[in-house]
Amino acid sequence: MKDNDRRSRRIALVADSVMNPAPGAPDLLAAIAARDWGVIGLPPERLGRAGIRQWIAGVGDQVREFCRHGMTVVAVLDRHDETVVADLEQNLAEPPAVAVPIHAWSNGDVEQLCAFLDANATRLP
Amino acid sequence: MKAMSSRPTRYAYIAHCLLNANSKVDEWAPCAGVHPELLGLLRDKGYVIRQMPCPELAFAGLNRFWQVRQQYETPAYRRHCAALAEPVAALMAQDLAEPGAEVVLVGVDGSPTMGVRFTSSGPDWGGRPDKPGDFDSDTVTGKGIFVEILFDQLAVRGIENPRVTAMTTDMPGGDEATALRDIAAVLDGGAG
Repeated sequence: MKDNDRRSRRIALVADSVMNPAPGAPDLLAAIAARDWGVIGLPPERLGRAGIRQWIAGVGDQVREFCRHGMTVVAVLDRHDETVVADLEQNLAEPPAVAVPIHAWSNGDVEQLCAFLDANATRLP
Repeated sequence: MKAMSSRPTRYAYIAHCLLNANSKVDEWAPCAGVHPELLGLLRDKGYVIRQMPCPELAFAGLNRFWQVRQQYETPAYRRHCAALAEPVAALMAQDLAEPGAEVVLVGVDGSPTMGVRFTSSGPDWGGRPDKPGDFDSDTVTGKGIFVEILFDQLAVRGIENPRVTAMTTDMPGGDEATALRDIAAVLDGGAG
């Protein structure tokens, strides 16, 4: 059996616009990956309210499982994703509630994002 | 976000763990988080990335043993996978409604859940405590349970199965370089 498990124990929930940056925008996902965070992609707004709610329900279950095991979970959200952000905040507030630090980016500032990640990073096991 | 280009948009639906190794079964995380070479391939080839959920993580937990398909073949797990697959199928349908849009699914071959060409089988495998050491399973042709259910849901929507490719490092003898070459070929339009 393998014994070289390399997981970082830190996960960022990321907006669709982070996963798929607009042409010319900085690649925030690459910055997140370079700092050894895993990601959980959030759905695009165009999925619609019902689909977003289903998608976020699955995300909430995963977040709670990571948190239950002491892993670090943060969110890098796009405030333009009104339905996604509202559903996520509502889901995470439901019992058992989990506190997830949020970075709401507006101009793709990589330095601000990295500072946020570093401030919330845990040590590698 | 849709890329601003005259080319039809290409979407890659990625198995969760390839962008979040923290979800892997214990002892099997090959990288810290995002698989860097895979992300590079997807960016270089201009794919919109859609990350699928990890059904095993929420159902069996982070400390689950490595399991075979027979262990997950339960009505409850199939219902769990169906609930997770529904919004994925809905989004894929939206993506494919764009003129000329293409979808590729990147799974994890050998996985009981996310395998696309190969899955794991072991009728007498029950877990680690009574069988320390090697994982007593066979690699067999077939899809993982989530992929099978997702494809069933696509069929209900009248959507053909997307082209598929997979990371193969969970399979006996699987190596990353070969897997990445295969993934790159399918992303380039090769048969999947």
